[in-house]
Amino acid sequence: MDTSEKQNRLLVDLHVKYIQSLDTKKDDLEYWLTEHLRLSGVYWGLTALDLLNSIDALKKEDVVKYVVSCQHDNGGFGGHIGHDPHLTYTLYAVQILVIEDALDAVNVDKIVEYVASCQDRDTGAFTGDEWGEIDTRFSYCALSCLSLLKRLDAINVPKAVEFIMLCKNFDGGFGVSPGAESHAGQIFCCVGALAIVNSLHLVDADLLGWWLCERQLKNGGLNGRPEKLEDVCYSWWVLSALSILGRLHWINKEKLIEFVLVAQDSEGGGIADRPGDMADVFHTLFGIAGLSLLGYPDLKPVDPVYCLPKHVVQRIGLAERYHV
Amino acid sequence: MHGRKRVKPSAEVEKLRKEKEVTKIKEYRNLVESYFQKKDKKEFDNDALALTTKILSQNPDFYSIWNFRRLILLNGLLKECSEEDKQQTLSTELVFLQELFQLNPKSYWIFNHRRWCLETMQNPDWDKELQLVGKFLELDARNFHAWDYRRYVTSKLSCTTETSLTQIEFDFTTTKINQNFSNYSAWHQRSKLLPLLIKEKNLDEQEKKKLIDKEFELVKAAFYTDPDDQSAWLYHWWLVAQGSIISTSQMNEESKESSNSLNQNLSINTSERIELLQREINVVRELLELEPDSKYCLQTLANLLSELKSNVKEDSKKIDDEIVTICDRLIKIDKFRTKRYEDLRSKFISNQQG
Ligand SMILES: [Zn+2]
Repeated sequence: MDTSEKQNRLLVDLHVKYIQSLDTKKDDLEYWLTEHLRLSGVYWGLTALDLLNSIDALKKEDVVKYVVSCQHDNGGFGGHIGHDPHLTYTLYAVQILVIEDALDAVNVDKIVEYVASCQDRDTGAFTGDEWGEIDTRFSYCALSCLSLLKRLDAINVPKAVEFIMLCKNFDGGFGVSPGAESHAGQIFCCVGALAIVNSLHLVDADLLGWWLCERQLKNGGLNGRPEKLEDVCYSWWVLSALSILGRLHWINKEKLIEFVLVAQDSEGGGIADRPGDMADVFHTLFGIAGLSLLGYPDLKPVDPVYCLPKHVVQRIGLAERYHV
Repeated sequence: MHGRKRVKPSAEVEKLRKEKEVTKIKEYRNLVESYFQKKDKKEFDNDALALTTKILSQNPDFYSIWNFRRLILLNGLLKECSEEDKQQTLSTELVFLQELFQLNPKSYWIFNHRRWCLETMQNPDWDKELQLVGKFLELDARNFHAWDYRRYVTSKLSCTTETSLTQIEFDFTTTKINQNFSNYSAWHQRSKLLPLLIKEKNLDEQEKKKLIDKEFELVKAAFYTDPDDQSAWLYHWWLVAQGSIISTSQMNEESKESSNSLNQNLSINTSERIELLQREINVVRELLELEPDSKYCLQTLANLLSELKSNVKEDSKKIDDEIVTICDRLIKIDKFRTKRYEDLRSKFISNQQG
C-alpha cells in the first residue's frame, strides 16, 4: 500500500500506537520542553483513544494516579506535577476523571471552590489563575468544569453570560475579551459555554453560521479567521460550533474528511496541523473528534459542547444541547 | 505544535541529534530542578531571577516560571526599595520581554507579564508601548495578540491623559485598511470604534449621515477591489444593519448588539431605511454586472432584498422570486456550501407558496 492509498482512511492502529508512545520519548529535548502540557496531553490522548474504541491502551490506574498528583491544596490543577494551578488544567483534569469515571479519587468540593474563586464578581469574567489574566476561554473552562461536576450553583451564571455577551462582535462571533476580534477557538468556547447554561438564543446563528462555514478553504481544510491558513484543529473549533448551532451541513463534509486524513502521518501515526507537518497529540485529538462529528465510520460519537465522548456525557446524565 | 515540517531523517542523523540532545536535556532538567528547589525554599534572590531568565529564554510557555519570576520580583528586588529603583528594575524587565518577543510574537504569557510590569510601575510609558505595538502590527497586521495589546494600551493612555483616542485609533484603522483592504482585524476594530466616535463627538443628524456615507464609500472601494474577500462584505452588512439606528437615535451599546432594538427603530424612519437599502442594492447590482460570479456579492444582494422586503408592502412576490434565483445561482457557484443556500432558499419558497 503506498502513502496516498494509506491516507484514504483513518489509520486507527497507528494512532493508538502513536498516543501510547508519547510518554517514551524521553531522549527528545521536546519532551522536556513541553512538560507544562503533560496533563493536557493526557486529556487529548485519552479522549482520542476512547473515540477510537481503544481507551484501554492507557492504564486507568496510571492515568488517575497521575491526574491526582497534579492537584494543589487550593483545589486547582497544574499542567504537570508541581506546576502551578490554572483553570485550563483544572478542566482537563475533570474531563479525564469523568472519562475514567473516577471523580471519587479527588476532593470535588475543593475543585468547585477553586473554580468559583476565579470568577470576578463585578464583571462575571473568569481569570485563568491568581495572576488575573481574563479570557473567554476561562469562562468556558469554568462553566464546563462545574457543569460536569453538577455544581453550577457555585458561581454567578447570569453574570458569566453577561461577560461572554460583551465579547460578541459585528460578525456574530466572539473574541478573547470585550473588543477582541472573533476567532474560531474563542467561538467554540463562547458558544459551548452558552450552550451549557441554555443561553444559545443569544447567538445570532445565521450570521455566525455564515462566518463559520466561510472558514472552509478550497483544499477542504478550515481556517480560524478570514485570510488565514487552514489547520486541522479548526476542524474541531469551527465544526463543534456549527454543530451546536445546528448548521453542520453548511460545509462540505467529504472535502474536510479528505483534508484531515491527508494530514495523518502514515508512518509514525498521529495527525498534524496540516499535510506534511509534524504530528502532535493535540491535532490528533481534534482531527479525530472532527471526523467523529462528521460521522466518519467506526468512531465513537463525540459531544460538541464538552469535547468528550458522547457516551460519557450521557452516563453522567447531562442532556444533549442543540440550538433551537 | 504549528507549522513544523515533518522530516524523516536517516537513522544516522537521528542518532547524532539524540547524542547532541543528551547534554541539552541534562542542562535543561538541571535548571528546572533548581527552580523547584528555590521555589520550595522561597529563595527570591538574584540567582533565582537569573534562573528564570535562562528557562524562559528557552521555553517562554512554561507558565509556572513566569509566576515564580513575579514572586521573586515582588519579594526581592521590588521590596523595600525606592520608586526609582523599582522603575529601573521593571524597565529592565521590559527590555528582557522585548528580546523574547522577537522569537515569540504570539505568546500569551509574554504579553501578560508585560502588562503586569507596566501595572506594577509607578510611571509606565504608555506612549512607548503604543509605538512598540505599532511596530508589531507593521510586521504582522493580523497579529491578534498585538491588536488586543493595542486596545489595552490605548485604554490606559486615554485614562492617564484623560483624552479620548477614539479618533486617532479610528484613523489608524483607516491607514491599515488602505494598506490592505483584506485586513479583517482592522475592519473589526472599526466596528468597535465607529459607534464610540459618533457617541463621543455628539454629532448632529447631518454630520452623522456624512460620516456613515463616508463609511459606505470606503467599504464600497474595498469590495470593488476584492469582491472575493469576506471582510468588507461583513462590515457592509453590519453597516447596513446600523444605518437606521445611527440616523434615528444616538447609538448605544445595546442597540448595537440586539436586532430587536434595530426593528424598534425602523418604524421611526422607514422611508430613510428604504432609501438606504435601495441605494445599496444599486451599488451591489452594478458590481454584479462586472463580477457576475461573485458569491459574496450575490449573497449581499439577497440579504439586502430580504431586508427591503420587510420594509415595503409591495413587490414581495417579486423579491422572493429574485432571492430564489440568487440562491439557485449560489448553489451552482459555491459547491461547498450548497446546503446553506438551500436553507435560505426554502424560506422564500415557502413564502411564495404561503
Ligand atoms: Zn492547530
